[in-house]
Amino acid sequence: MQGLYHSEKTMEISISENKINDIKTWFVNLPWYNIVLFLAVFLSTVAIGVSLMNGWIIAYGDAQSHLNIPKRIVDSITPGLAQLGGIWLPLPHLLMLPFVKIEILYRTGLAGSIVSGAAFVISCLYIYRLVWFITKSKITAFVAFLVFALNPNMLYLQTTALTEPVLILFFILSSYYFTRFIAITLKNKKLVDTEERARHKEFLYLVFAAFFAFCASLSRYDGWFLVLIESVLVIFVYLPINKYIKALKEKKFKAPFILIREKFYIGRGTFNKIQGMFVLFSVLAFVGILMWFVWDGLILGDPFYFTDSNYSAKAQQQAWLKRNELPAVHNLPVSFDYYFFDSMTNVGVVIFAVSLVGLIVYISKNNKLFAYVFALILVVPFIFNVFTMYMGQSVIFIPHITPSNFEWKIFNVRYGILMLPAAAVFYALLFHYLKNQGKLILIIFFLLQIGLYGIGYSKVMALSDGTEGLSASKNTDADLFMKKHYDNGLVLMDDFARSVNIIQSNIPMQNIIYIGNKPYWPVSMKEPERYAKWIVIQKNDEVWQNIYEKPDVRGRLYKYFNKVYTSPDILIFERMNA
Amino acid sequence: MKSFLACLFLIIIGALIFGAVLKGIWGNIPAESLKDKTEYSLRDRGRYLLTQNLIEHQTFALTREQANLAAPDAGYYKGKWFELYPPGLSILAIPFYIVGLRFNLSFVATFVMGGIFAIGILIFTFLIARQILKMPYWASILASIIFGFSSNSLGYSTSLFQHHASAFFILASFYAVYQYKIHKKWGFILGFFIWASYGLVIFLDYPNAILMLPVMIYFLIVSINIKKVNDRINLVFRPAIIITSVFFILITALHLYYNYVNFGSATKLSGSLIGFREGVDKALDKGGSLNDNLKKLSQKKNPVNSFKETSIANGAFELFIAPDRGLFIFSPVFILAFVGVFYAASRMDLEKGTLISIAAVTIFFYASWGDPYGGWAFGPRYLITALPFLALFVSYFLSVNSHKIVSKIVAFLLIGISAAISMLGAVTTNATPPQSEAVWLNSHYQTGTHYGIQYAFDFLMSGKTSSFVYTYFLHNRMSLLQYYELLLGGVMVVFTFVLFVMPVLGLIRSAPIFRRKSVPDKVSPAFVPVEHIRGAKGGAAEREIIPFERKYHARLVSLRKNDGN
Repeated sequence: MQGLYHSEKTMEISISENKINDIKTWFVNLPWYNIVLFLAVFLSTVAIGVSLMNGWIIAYGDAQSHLNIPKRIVDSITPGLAQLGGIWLPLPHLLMLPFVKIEILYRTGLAGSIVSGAAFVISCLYIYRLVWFITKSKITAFVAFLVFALNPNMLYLQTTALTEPVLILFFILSSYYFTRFIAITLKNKKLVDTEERARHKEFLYLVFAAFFAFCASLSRYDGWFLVLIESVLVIFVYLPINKYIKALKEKKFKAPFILIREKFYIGRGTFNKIQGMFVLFSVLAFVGILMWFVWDGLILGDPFYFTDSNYSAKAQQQAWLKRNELPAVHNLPVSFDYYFFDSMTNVGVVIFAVSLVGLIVYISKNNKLFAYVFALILVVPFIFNVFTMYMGQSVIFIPHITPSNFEWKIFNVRYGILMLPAAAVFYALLFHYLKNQGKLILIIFFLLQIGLYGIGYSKVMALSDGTEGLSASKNTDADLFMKKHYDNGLVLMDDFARSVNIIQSNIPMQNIIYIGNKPYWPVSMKEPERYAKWIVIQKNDEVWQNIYEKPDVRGRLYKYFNKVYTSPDILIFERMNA
Repeated sequence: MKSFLACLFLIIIGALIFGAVLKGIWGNIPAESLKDKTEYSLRDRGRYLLTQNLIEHQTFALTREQANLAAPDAGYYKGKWFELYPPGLSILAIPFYIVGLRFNLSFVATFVMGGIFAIGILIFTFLIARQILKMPYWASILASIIFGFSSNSLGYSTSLFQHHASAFFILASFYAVYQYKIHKKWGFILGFFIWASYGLVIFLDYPNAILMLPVMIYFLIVSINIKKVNDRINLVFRPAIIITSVFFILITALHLYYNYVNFGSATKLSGSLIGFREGVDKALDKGGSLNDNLKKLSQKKNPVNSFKETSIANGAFELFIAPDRGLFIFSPVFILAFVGVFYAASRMDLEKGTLISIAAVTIFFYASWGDPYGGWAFGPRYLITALPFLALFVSYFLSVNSHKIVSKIVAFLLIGISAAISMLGAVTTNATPPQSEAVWLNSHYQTGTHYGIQYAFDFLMSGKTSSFVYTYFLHNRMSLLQYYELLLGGVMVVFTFVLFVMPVLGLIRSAPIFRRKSVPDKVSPAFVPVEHIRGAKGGAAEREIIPFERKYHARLVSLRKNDGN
C-alpha cells in the first residue's frame, strides 16, 4: 500500500529544443503543395480505378446522359453544338468533348472521369491555397485538403461524369479569388494612400473571381446564385459599413433617417468606385447567364426553356407534387432540414458537426466584415439549395427524414456534396485555433469518421443513390436485348425516357435518332419507316405518344416493323425488310 | 469541511427523496408471482430475475417462465434462455438481494441499489462541479440536484436499470482521472479504479464501451506530459496507465469467459441472441423444429446493424423534442445545458472538453440507435448517462450569470416544470408507451391509451403508484396526489434554498466584515474577473462580478498577485 501511495515513477524522453525546432522547421518546410498535388492525383486515380472495376462510373442515369450530350456533338447523326440542348448547362459537356470522341473513354465513362478527376485535383490545390491564405499555415491548409480529398462521396463523384465536381472546382476558384479581392479591398480601405500595386491586385482578383464565377454559372444553376451573391458583395465591401454600425449604435432608431439624410455616406469617389467595380464584375460574371438565355431563345425558341420546358427540373417536380411527395415545397423548415441532413451525410456526420463548431469559432474569433463575407461565400450552396427546394425547383430524398410511405428514399442526395468545401475549410480553421490537445482530438474525430464509414455506420450516400436510389440508371432486359441483337441501322428512341441504355447497349451514337435530330426526328414521328431500322418505345414516352398512340402512325409501324421484344413497359420493333 | 457538509446534505436529501419514490413489493418475491404484482411499472424485472436465479440456482440461464417475464429483454441460445443485457448489474445486485432476503424484502432491497448509485452520482457531480469546474457551492449542489430531482432519471433511480450504475462509474472515473492528473501519489490506485470501471461498465451494458471512451482518452492524454526544462523538451509518460490496465484485462477476460461458457464463443454477445418474443413467435409461425428456426433467426441478428447514421434525425427528434420521449419536454431545464456549453466553449479546457464529449457521445450514440424510444419508458431513458454531465452545464450557465435575476427566475421555472414531471414519473410509472404504439393500440383496440406525461398523469389521477413507501405505509393517510404534492413541495423548497438562499449566504460570508485575513484557496472563476483568467479586459468579463463584491474582489486579486498567482 505504501508503495502505491508514493509518487509513481515516470518514463521520460528528453530531446533538445533545438532538435525539436529543427524537426519542426523541416516538417513545416516540406513541399506541401507538391504533396497535395501528388496525393490528389493518387487518390483520384485509385478512386477512378475502383469505380471502373465495379461499374460505378456510369451507375447514375444522369452520368450517362452527361456523356451522351458531348458525344452527340461530335458523333451524332446531326452533329454540332446545337446538340448541347437547353436544359443542362454546357460547360461540363464542352470540357468532355475531346475525350468522348475516343470510343473506349465514352463507353467506360472515363471521358467524364478525366474531366471530374482533373476538377477534383485542382479543387484540392485551391482548397489548400484558400486555407493557406486565411491562416498562413501549411499544416492547417493540408488538413483542409485531407478533409476534402478523403471524403468518400467526393472521391466517388469525381469518378463520374456528373457536373458537381466541375461546379465545385469553379466555386472554389471563384471563392478563392473573391476572398483575396475582399481581403485586399478591405485592407486598401484603411490605407490613406493606396499603393498602386495593391490596387492592381484588387482589380486582378476581381477579374479572376468573375471569370470563374462565369464558368460556375455555365456548369450548374447553383453557379448563378454564386454570381448574384458575389455581385452584391462587391457593392457591400465598398460601402462605409463602419459608419453605418456607428450610426446604429449611437442613434439607434434615428439611424435610418440620418443615413438617408447623409446619402449613406457615399461620396462621389466611393460611388464611382462601386459603380466601376460592379460593372467590371458583372459584365464578365453575368455574361454566362445572359448567353444561356440567348442560346435557349435562339436554338429552342424560348429564353426560359431551361425552366419552362417539359424536360426541366421544375416540370419533373410537378409529378412529385401531384403524388404529394414534395414535402419541402413552400415549407422553409422542411427545406432546411432536407438540405441540412443531406449536407451532413455527404460531408460525414462527425466532420459536419465539427465544422459547424469551426464556423462558430471562426466567426466569434474574427468578428469582422471579412469573416462574415468569407463565411457567406462558402455557405452559398446551402442557401441556394434550400431556396430551390422551397420553390419546388429541386427535390432531394434522403433516408434520414424522408417519410416512410414515400416510394423512394434516396434521390439527388449528391447535391449535399457542395457543402464539402465549406466543411473542409471550417474544420481546418478549428484545427488552426486549437492547441495541441485540441488538435489531437480533431485528428481522432477525423479517424473516427473514417471508421464510421468503415463499419458501415455511415453510407457513401452518393454511391448508394447511383446504385440503389432513384438516380440509378435503369438496366433493363431491353438493354440486353439490344446489346445482343442490334446489328446495324438507325434506332429511333426517346433518349430522355432512357428506354434503352445507349452506352451499355453499344449502339453507335451516330445511329441514334432522338428528339434533337432534325429533320430525322419530326419526319420519323409521321413516317417511322423513313429512316429507322429499330424503334424503341417506352410506355408514355415521346415515341409512344407520337407513334403508338396515333392510330394512323401506329398502322405504319405495324405495316413496316415486326415487334421483336415485349415487356410491360418497353416494346422494340425491327424493320421487316431489313 | 464545506464540501463534506455539502456531500452529507446530498446524501440525506437523496436518501429521503429516493427512499420516498423507491419502487418495490413487500416480500421475497418468487418469479411466478412477479407478473401479477408488477402491473403498472416494474418492467425492469429481468435483471432481478437473473439476480434471483444466480442466488437460488447458481446459473445465468433463465427458465422459460422467467424468460417470459423478462421479455422482451430475454434471448435464446441452444435450448436456454438468457438476459439480452450483460449480467454485470445483476451480479452487482447480489449483496442487496441477500440482505433483502434476510428481511423478507429481497425485491425492494435489490432496487435500493439504484438509489445508492444515484446518491453516488449526486456526490460526484458535486465534486466535479466544485473541484474541477470551480463553481461556487450553491451551483455545485444545484448541478447535483438538477440531475437527481428534476430530470427523468428520478423515475429510474430506484429501479434496476443499468443507466445509473453506468453513469456512476463514468462520472467516478472522470473524477479519478482528474485526481490522477493533479496528484502524483495514488496514481496506481486511481489507475486500477479507472480501468476496473471501464471493464465493469462494459459488463453492465455494451454501449458503455463507447460512452466511456472520452474518459479513457482523457486518461491517456493526462498520462503524457510535455515539459520544457532548460533547453530540453521532456516527454513524460506515466506507466501506471499501462500497468493498471491489468484490471480491465481481468474483468474483460471474465466477460469473454462468460460469453464462451454460455454462448459457445468468447466474442458472441448476449445482445446478438435472438429475442424471446420475436424468436418464439416467428419460429412457431414457421412450423418445424423450434431450435432450427431459432438458429436461422439468430444468425440474422447483428446488434451493430441498429447503429446507423440514417437514424440520427429521427433519433435526435425522439430524444429531445418528441412529445412521448423528448428531453426538452420531460426536463426542459436541460435546454439551459446547451447554453451552458456555449458559455463553456469560450473557456474550453481539457476537462470541459471531456465532459462535453461524454454527453455528446451518448447523444450521438443513442440518436443513431434504431430504437431511441427505450421501449415503454418515461422520458429519454437512454440519455440518463449523459444527464449528470448536462446538469453540470446548466449550473455552469447559472453560475456565470449568477448576478442576473432573470436567468435564475427562468431557471427556477424550468426546474419547477422538470421536477413536477420527473416526480410524476417517479411516483407513478416509468413505463409509458411510445406515441406510435399508443396510436396503434387506440386504433386497433380503442384502449384510449395516452402516451408520455399524460399517461403517467392518468396513473396519478387514478391513484396507481409504484412507490413502496406510499403503498405500504401512507396510502391510508393521504391520497396519491397529496403524496405527490408533498414530495414535489419538498423538492422545490430544496431548489429554492440552493438557487436563491445559498448564494446570498455566500455573499454575506464573503463580505468584508466576515472576511478572514487569509485568502481562500479555491475561488470560483465565475467570481473572478475574466481579465485575470483570459487576459481580457472589460466587456462581458466585468459584468460577471456582482457590484456588492467588486471591492472585495479587487482586494482578492491583488492578494493573489502578491502570492505569485
